[in-house]
Amino acid sequence: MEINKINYEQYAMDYLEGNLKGYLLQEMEAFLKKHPNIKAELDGIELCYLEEVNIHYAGKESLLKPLATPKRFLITKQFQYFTAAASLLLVLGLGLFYIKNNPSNHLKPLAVIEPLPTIDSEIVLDPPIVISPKIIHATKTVQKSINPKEETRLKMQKALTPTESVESVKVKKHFNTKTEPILNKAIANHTLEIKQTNTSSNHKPHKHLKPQTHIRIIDSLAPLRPTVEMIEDERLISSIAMTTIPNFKKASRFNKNLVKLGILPERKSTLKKNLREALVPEVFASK
Amino acid sequence: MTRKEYNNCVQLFADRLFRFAIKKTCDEARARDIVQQSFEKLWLKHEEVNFSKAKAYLFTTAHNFFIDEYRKNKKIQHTAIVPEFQENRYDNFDLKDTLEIALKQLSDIQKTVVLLRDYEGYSYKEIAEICNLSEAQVKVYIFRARKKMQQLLISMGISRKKVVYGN
Repeated sequence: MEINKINYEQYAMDYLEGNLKGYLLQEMEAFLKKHPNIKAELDGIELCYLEEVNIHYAGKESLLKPLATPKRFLITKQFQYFTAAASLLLVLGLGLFYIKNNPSNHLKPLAVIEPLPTIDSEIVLDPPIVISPKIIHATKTVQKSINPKEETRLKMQKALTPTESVESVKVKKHFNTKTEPILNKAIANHTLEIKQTNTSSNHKPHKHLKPQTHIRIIDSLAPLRPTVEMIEDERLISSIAMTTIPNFKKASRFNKNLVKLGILPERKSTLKKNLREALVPEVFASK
Repeated sequence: MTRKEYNNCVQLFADRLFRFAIKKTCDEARARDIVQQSFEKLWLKHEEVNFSKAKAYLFTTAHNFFIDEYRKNKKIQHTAIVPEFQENRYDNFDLKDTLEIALKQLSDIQKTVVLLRDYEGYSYKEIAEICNLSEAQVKVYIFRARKKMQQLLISMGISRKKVVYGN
């Protein structure tokens, strides 16, 4: 590269400071020989440098940063979310713990719904009452014509399925000793009555009961005997009679006989009423 | 750069930066502001700036502040009034003061490169990086600055021998 008047300035300082070497140094020397006025300029400034000046800056302390700064715990957004969730869970947990362990804070129910006795449930009365399957059969036949209001009552009756608990056996023994002779006497009287009506051809049959009916009653009562013996409630005895004897009048007559024999107390009106209401509403409805 | 290294930068370079600023502005208050702003910027970027580059970063920042100020106040020129040459003052005239006066006659960029070269000892390449110039440009600016200073000294009657060796 040729050094000329245009570009000599960029090589001048290197030349003055002795940093120009080789080909460029020769070029520079040749250029200065050609231009002595420029060489005179360079001679005047070759060592014109500023001298060292010490100036103190008074505000250093304000620029310094303290070294022993307390460590700051960096709170990130994720940490904030985590702490919020944890605190919420803690509050909920404490609240539940407090409610659970403080009886005064228990919520009182507005209403207690007790489950209705189902068909499968077993109800043992004191003393236990055992109803014959025939009674249940009779109630089933009647069930079709029963209005919805009687549904609950029927469910209760269905629940009274035959059971043979220890208590029921004891009761059975107790009633057998008491009622068996009486019932045997009643059956014997009916049998005698039937025999009398059959043997005396002139004698008219019973105005209420035909001989065949009596036989049917006695036959039907025979398997019920153990059951009847253990039943003390008059209403249930009447119901047995009603289910066994389809005709209500005949059943009433049978009940009357039972009253005469001393098996049932003399409360016919109550008996009829109970029978109407409880067991055979269709009979009275037809009437 | 750590906090400790930053504090070291303050201890090492605050005086130098202040000298550079005050020589450039000829105004102590402005020079203080420039130093403070430069160190504030360094602290903001202290995690990114290496300690070995801190000095260059400080001077680059200061130089940029000067450029910004110059652009804002283009019409305002902070040039010192050159005292008229008086024959009777020559003998008592201090070379140091004469050079200071000559320095004030330089343009901003000439002043900057001369200050960085003479006071801080930066190479032409480093000065080029700080001032965002080419190396050749820096050399030309410095040569012209020295030539101008020399002319002033000659006009004041100070011979070459006196300039070099003082009295």
